[in-house]
Amino acid sequence: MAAFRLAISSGFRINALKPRRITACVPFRVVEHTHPIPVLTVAASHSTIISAADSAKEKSAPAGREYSESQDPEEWKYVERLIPPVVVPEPVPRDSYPSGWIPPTDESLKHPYFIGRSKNHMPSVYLRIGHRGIGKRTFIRKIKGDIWALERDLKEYLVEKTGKIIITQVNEMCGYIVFRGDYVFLCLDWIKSKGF
Amino acid sequence: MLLNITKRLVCRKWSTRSMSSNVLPHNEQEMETAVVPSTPILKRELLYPCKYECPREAWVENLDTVKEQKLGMIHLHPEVFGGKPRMDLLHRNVHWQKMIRYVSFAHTKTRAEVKGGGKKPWPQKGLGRARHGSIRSPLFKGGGIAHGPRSPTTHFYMLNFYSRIHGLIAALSVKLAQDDLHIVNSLEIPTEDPKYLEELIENRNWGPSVLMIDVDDIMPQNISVATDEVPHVNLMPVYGLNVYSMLKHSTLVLTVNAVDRIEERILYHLHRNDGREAVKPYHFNNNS
Repeated sequence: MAAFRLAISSGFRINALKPRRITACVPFRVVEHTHPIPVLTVAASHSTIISAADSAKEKSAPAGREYSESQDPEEWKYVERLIPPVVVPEPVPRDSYPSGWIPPTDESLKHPYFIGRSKNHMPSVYLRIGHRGIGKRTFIRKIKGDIWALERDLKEYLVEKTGKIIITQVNEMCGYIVFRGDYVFLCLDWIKSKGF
Repeated sequence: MLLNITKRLVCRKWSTRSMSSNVLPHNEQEMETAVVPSTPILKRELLYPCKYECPREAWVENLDTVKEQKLGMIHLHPEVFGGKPRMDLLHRNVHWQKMIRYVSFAHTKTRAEVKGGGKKPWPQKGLGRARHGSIRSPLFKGGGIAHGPRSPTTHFYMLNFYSRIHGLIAALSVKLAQDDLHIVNSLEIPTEDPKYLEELIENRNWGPSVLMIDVDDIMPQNISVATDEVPHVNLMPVYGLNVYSMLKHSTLVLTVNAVDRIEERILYHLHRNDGREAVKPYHFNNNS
């Protein structure tokens, strides 16, 4: 268990006696493997900036610093919000998101193919660069359904937008398509238009 | 096969049902008359529900009688039991499982180990012959081998963490797709006699070899005694589930509890926040 030391003027110490479940939003299930709650020791006079005189005074002062142990959920929520979630949570449904993230829509079920999202709810389009920076390949992963129809449609879109010859590789068993070149943003636009 | 997949994709959005997970109780009389109960879908809540893919469905059977009784139908998570049939991952997993325990005992002697060859065979200069220092160098017939096998050589390595997870998913999906996966309510059988199991397997057209999986490593007495005598019917706890065993046995039998546990563990690994921890290089720690 890691120990954190913070400078706070109030001078109370919070000790973790046993790990507690993280109560978070409903769509994902709390699993038993919670991280052990770290011991948070908050000492009054343990400031980072201590003068020589003060430190001398500290050492000579009596050892009993005043602290109280707390089980209050209202105080504990300040600790719990520092602990990262065990599983990636479901995004809260909203009309629009400030980051520009767009959730998948039901439109995606209307096509003979489907492109799944990653576990972080991002579209699975990746750029891989090799050959010392000159070999760029755009991967579309997590493809289900008629991958050949997807390749045909997406290639048509890319050719129309770029006017270049697009070389593709289709791996039906593993469910991915590779385009030779950097077409990540065009692919993302197309995926957004289809609702994936 | 593609047509089946596209049909499934076009199905309407599936919504979760919040329910308990009790298996329907059945009376003695009902067992003989009705094979399929009136409300076939048994209640089972899926973790991390998939909005854009339909859950797979499987019958829950019993092991109490030789003739199978369908107790109901449960939903199986599509990410675990509906994955792609990834032959490459199955091959990698099986190869890994074989190679981690393989030790090669092939051995050859180096020029230092072959008997003789300490003396310089002829002077360096003057004879018109090639210069040599020892008659057991690799150049000589009967000499040592330069880069030969050295016993014992281990071939241990760790396959990528997510390759192993997706290997399990592929194996489970392949078993379900090929009708080799059966789900039972529990592993309780009426007798210790191995003939009961053999009749049951024969009657239900299960493959010659059967792998039965439950959550705990302590199994009911009757089935433990019966399978002890039959080498091709094996019991295994969930923590022992592996691709090699799943492919080696023709039929895979899971209890409902085992299905819950497998789904929970695999889905946790597919959705966990700290993937970096999982893919760190494997270190054997003798202290823990």
